[in-house]
Amino acid sequence: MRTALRNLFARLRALVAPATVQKDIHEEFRFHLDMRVEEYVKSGMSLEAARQEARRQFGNPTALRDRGWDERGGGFLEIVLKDLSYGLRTLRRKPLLTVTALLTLGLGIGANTAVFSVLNATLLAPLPFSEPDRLMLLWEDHTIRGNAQVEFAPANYLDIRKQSRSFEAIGAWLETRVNLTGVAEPQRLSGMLVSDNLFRLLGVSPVIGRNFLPGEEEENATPVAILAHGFWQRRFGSDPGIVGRSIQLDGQGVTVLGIMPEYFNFPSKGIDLWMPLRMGPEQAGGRGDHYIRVIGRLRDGMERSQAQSDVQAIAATLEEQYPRTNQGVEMRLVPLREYAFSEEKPALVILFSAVALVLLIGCTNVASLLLSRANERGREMILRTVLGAGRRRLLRQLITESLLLALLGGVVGLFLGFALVRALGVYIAEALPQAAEISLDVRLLAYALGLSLLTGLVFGLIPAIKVSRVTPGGSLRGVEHQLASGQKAGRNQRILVVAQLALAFVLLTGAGLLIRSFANLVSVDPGFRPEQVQVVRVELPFTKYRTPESRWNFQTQLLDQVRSLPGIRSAGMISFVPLTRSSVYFSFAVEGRANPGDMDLPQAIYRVVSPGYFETMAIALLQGRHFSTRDNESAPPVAIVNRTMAERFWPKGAIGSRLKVGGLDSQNEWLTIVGIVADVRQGRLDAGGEPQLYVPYRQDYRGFIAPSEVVVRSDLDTAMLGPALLRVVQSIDKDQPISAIETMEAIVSRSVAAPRFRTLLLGLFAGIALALSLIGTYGVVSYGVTQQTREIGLHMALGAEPRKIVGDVLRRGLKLSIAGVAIGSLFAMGLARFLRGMLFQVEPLDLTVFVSVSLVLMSVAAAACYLPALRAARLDPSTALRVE
Amino acid sequence: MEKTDLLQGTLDMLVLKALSRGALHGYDIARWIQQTSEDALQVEEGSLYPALYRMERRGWIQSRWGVSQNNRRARYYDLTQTGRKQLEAESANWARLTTAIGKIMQTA
Repeated sequence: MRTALRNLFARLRALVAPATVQKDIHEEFRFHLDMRVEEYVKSGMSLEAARQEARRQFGNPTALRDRGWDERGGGFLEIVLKDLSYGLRTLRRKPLLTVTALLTLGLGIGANTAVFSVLNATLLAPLPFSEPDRLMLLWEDHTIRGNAQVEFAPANYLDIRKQSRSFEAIGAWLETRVNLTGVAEPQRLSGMLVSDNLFRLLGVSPVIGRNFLPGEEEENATPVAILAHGFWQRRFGSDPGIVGRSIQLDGQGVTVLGIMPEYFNFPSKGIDLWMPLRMGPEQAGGRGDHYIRVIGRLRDGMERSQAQSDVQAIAATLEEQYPRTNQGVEMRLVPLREYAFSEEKPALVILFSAVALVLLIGCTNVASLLLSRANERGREMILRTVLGAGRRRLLRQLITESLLLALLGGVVGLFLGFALVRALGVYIAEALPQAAEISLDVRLLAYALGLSLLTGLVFGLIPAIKVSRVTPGGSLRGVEHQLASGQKAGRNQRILVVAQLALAFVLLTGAGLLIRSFANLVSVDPGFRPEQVQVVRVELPFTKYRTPESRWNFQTQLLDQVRSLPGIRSAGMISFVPLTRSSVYFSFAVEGRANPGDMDLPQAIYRVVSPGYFETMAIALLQGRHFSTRDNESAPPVAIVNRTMAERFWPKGAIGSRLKVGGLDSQNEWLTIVGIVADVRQGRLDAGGEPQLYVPYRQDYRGFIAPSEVVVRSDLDTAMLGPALLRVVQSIDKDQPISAIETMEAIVSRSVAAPRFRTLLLGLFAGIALALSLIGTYGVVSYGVTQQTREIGLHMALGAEPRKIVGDVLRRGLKLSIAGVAIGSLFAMGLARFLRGMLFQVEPLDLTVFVSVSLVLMSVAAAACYLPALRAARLDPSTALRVE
Repeated sequence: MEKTDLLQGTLDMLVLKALSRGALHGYDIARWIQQTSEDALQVEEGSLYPALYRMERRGWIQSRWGVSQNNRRARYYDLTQTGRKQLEAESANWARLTTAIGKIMQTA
């Protein structure tokens, strides 16, 4: 080991300072000769004779020095370096080819690095919990009602937590919003109510202060909270003294127990603080509403399947005990790892495959470039073989060159990849809000390096083998012929062109399908007009606005004052504006119909709105009337339904009909339908057609769904309107914060961020693929023309029209593109179905897409052939014939 | 006096043997071999050096620059632990070989 190290060091020294080593050897020889001469002279020889004799005795010093250098020089390293510098020279000699190859590789590797960096920050990002593989999410499974993943009802969660034997611990969380009050600038916070065992279950502790203790989720325990690192930094200037002190949340004193580590963002980014999930007896006993998220840590060594059947058995018992609420409610486990980014996973996998194809196209391009160069280099290779270079030496030289090219391409790719990630940063942040920070880590570098090396081997091997197979028998000319003979050389490259056209076809089809789908998506009529509408969220703290009347007063005052602001055309309020994915469904009963079980009642999206909401959003009123200020607490309860709900449940006319929230026997009041409005895309643009139910705000007593989003239609921009709204709100209640103001158009746009992201990327990659195939086809056809200069000259000398020459070249190119399109469409047909889940109103085998892609690809191929064809036609026969 | 070409591979052994008594420079090694064999062995003196470099690379010997008896800078070679073991192995091997060949050659 030490010897090896010392040798390596000696080799390196010889590489860095060859002169020193040479001098060493020289001096040693010199000493030897001098000693010998001295001895001979002493024994009586003349100086001249002594010198001659000493030299004869010593042998040929030049040869000996070379043999000495073999031992003491750079050794293997030196050979590699020689190969590299030779390779660099070769690359420099053909700058156009080198730049083309580097750009091609750079684009391919860059696209791969970019997508991998996204994967690295999402699917491959490690879960920051101890033994994360034992963490399981638990879901209620309502498959018979078409929903396999439903949140838990509180009582079901408590039962499973008590009864299950397969878990070390089971915990839960529930989103909440609170206002930080008692400070100069009140602020709305994102909070998470968590079971007191949750952090211990995840294996994470606060960096300062203490964890929640068992018992802190009891209803009457002291109010406590643990702060997120970011919130602590922003709001309390990282002051550790805050721990143990009290802060005001919704006007109530809450003791800060601790600060979580910076990386901790469970269950999602943007959480400001965690508080114990405390449920009163009524809430804890509820099995009808499903809104609690549950997670468990498997006991050590417990199999998932075992735990699954354990949980399922408990679900079956509950079903027997509580048939009214739990009929058909099963339970299932999903590993936390599988769940993270499960929605984005298919798109990421497809993008990853897409960039792999791009790189493959890039490889075929470079291979084809190297092949044509290999043909030109035949003479050089033969010469070197004749001069005694072994086949292995030549092969190594060629592979070294390819690897060098690939590594340089990898460097270009790394830069391009990061440029791409930077350019797409906004889209990535929108489409993958939960992604970790994208950064250059060891894994990413290793990936780029490995990919470059693999690429170098892939595109370098074919030409290398071909060249090294040359047998140096016969004349140089003969060998050159052997390499470059039109037939064989051309065939390999034509295969490569067909292959890359086919690959490009697959990518273009995928991109075409996604683009059509995206076009369909954004042209969906959302049922409202987002232009000039702006939204701000005003969350009234429940602790301060305990009574419905206090909320109504606030809301009425707010609306009155906002409407009187200059430049405002209309304003209204709603629980949640559309496309924010907050879907609250309520079950309802229709007057005059039989009462089904609780679980089988029809459901509607339930929204509480103020007068002016529909007008502001420009949601069409189809029948009846809007809500007015007269629809208040002392007036008979009314409702507005959407067209789908009206047509489905009251085909003979909905106006004047009655329904109630809950079952027929529930205590809720009957609501009379006074209006029918157009369907609105509430959850997402690509899904609609569900019943929607609106009630006036002064008739809603359920605080948690009270209207808290103010919509304003005006000519003002957000910078003007935002501060004006804040002033209005704080003139009514100086402790009341508001959220940042947003345009409704931004909300709509954000709701399609994910499809836009994948469409954009796949489109980009398909574009790169198309450009690369254009270059590849051009290169091969152009090379073919060069190869056949003599032949073409002969044709022309024999009287062939230039037009025929052009036609010939074009026809050859067309044949290639037809083959590429045919093969590509076969593959595309096979692969398109993997896109099905991402397509909106487009079939995977959409004829328009397939036909347009074929046309595009064939035109591009024709364009690529046209220049070489023109060049062929302009050949001067007399010169052409003289070309060797 | 008749001279014998050095058997392939025996040069290393002779060098190791020469160095077993202490550090020597190349010229002294060559002289020692000549004198000890009473000029019977023919060594192309220069080829000693690539052999020395190779043996150094293998870790059998180590070298440093020193001053010779006549006050000139000379490169001295010295056995390492590995070199000593190598010498033992080669000597034993050589003894076995010569005994075996001697037996064969003595048959009538």
